[in-house]
Amino acid sequence: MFTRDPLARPELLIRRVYAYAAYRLGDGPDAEDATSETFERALRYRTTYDPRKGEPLAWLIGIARRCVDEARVRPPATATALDAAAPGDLEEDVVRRLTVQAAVGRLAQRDRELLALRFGADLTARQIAELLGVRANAVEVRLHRTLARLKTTLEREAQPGVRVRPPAPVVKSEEAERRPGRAA
Amino acid sequence: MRKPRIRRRRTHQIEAELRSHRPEPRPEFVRAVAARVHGPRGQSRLRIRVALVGALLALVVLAALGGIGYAGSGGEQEVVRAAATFAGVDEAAKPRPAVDPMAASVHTTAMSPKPKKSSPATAAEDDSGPGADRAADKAAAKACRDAVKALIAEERALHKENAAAERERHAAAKAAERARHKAALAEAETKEERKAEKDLYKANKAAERDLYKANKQAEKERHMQRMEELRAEKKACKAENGSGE
Repeated sequence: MFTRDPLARPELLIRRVYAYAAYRLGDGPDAEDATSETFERALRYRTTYDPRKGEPLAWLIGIARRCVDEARVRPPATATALDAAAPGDLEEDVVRRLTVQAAVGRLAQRDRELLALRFGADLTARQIAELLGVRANAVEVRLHRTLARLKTTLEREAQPGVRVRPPAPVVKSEEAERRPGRAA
Repeated sequence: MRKPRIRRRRTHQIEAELRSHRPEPRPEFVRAVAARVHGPRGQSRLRIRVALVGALLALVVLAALGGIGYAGSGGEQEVVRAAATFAGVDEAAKPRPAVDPMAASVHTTAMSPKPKKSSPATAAEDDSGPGADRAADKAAAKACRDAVKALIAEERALHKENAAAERERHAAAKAAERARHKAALAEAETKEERKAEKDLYKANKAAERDLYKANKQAEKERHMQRMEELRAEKKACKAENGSGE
């Protein structure tokens, strides 16, 4: 009589949906808006969820894709993802994270979506294939190519002259905070 | 042979990095959304379900004991008996035990000035025994049916609301896609870009149409299933209370 509630344990789902949105829109308020919108819609349609058709996460990501597409039409928020994420003194790990995020941001939308689905939402290739309406093999191949492109981008950035460096911790001018990804 | 292995290792390294550097939401944001999910709607639904189950259980218990009908008809019988005593009417001139309170009141008022002649069959059916049981069963069945009717009305309203919300969403999605398409066409510089954008628009439109159809179908199926359940419950009311256990 009672169907399984897809939002019974929402915390992990929120994290996955946010990561997906952040990979596509950038870490920050836009991703939060898209995540909120996704859960609003999910709440409205939670009774239509059919567990036979897939996991709750895949169902939610299907909704999130629409929300992110709609968010991309709207003008972006003023703060960029990098600004929002940059703390006062950047550790090496944070620098690397920003570098990877920046490199992902430079990929084509199609590639970004694939990475967002695979590494943000943590979906399997099969789930992605069902969501995109393609074969699992095609997803694997596309993922492989996308990762290769990302690797090339990262390697290019690692060359001298284009290395991403954090702003000096002592000098915290507005200019430096606004452009943390530029070459020092 | 070595080169691909290194390449694969590097790819794995990037995969690991992408996983470990996965953007994490702020804890306050997670808490806020989780609170919204577990919010008033979910709680109220739970309360409604608990209340419904409780009401149905109470109905079943009362019906089994014949409590509702007995309580309903017992009071009326006392009034009738008292009125008859004061009016000096013969005990045999009692009306049949009434199931409906309205009918009972009609009997009570009608008999005081002009007592009816009683037939032996009517006199034999006293307020205790199988007559009272039947009345109790009928009242229980009616109460059960009324409860299910209320649920059916609620379900119909919910179905209408869901359908309207889905239509609204579909219209908004279509408008947003049109706006995106216009903006993208304006930005496109080459013929190829325009063509690709047109193709994308077509694909998105088709996907939205499919989603709309799928959502509509899912809602229809959910509604039909729920209505079927409610109809079965209605039948069960009849079967449980109408059999006269």
